Amino acid sequence: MELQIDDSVLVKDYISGDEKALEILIQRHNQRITSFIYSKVLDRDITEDIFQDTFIKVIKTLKRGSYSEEGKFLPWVMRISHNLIIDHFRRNKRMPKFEGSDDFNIFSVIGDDKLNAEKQIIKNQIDSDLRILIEELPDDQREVLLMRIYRDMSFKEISENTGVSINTALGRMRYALINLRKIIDKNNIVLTN
Amino acid sequence: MEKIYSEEHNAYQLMTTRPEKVRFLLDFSKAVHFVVYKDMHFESIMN
Repeated sequence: MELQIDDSVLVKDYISGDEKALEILIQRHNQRITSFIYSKVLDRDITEDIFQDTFIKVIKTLKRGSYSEEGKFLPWVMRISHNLIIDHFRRNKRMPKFEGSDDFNIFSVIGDDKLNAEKQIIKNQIDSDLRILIEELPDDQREVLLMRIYRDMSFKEISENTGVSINTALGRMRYALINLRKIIDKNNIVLTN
Repeated sequence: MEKIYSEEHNAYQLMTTRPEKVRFLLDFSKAVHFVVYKDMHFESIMN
């Protein structure tokens, strides 16, 4: 009958640089740990991932010399995998998994709100062109338009700041837009995104 | 969370991790090294 080397001895050997000791430890506890993980996550691939992450932690801890639970190797590894299983479920709770089907693809209804690099460049160019066109407006109209669009001021605030009535401010804004369109049409400028 | 650990899953079965995963871990173990400098551990992976 072959004598089985104790886990604690294998751990010491591994810490001393015997890589073979790790292989024996992994093979010895492979089935127990894998089955334990699978019994919780019920997914073969996730089980493999958690098994891998568990032993990466084990390897790092042992190599760093931080392991201090001699004789309790398996419970310690099981505790690591247990924590990683909890992490997995927490992560999935925060980010619910959605699996599409042949009939419905989630990416057909959701998109990235952010502009891609090309669209951002176009937007910047339009903004820049618009500022040049606004400079062509009469002073009073330009003033109201800048306050309303770029400073996000209400017409009440604009009237207080410019010393004119709200109706006058509204009228100036209206003419500013009409004149901007005229300038755009006259110069055949195309502003699109 | 307690449900996960209190519920008995019928699908409990014995299984082992694939040999290539074990091989990866053994290779990782050989590649990873720690250097201690002033109580700080620096990890390096050599391929």
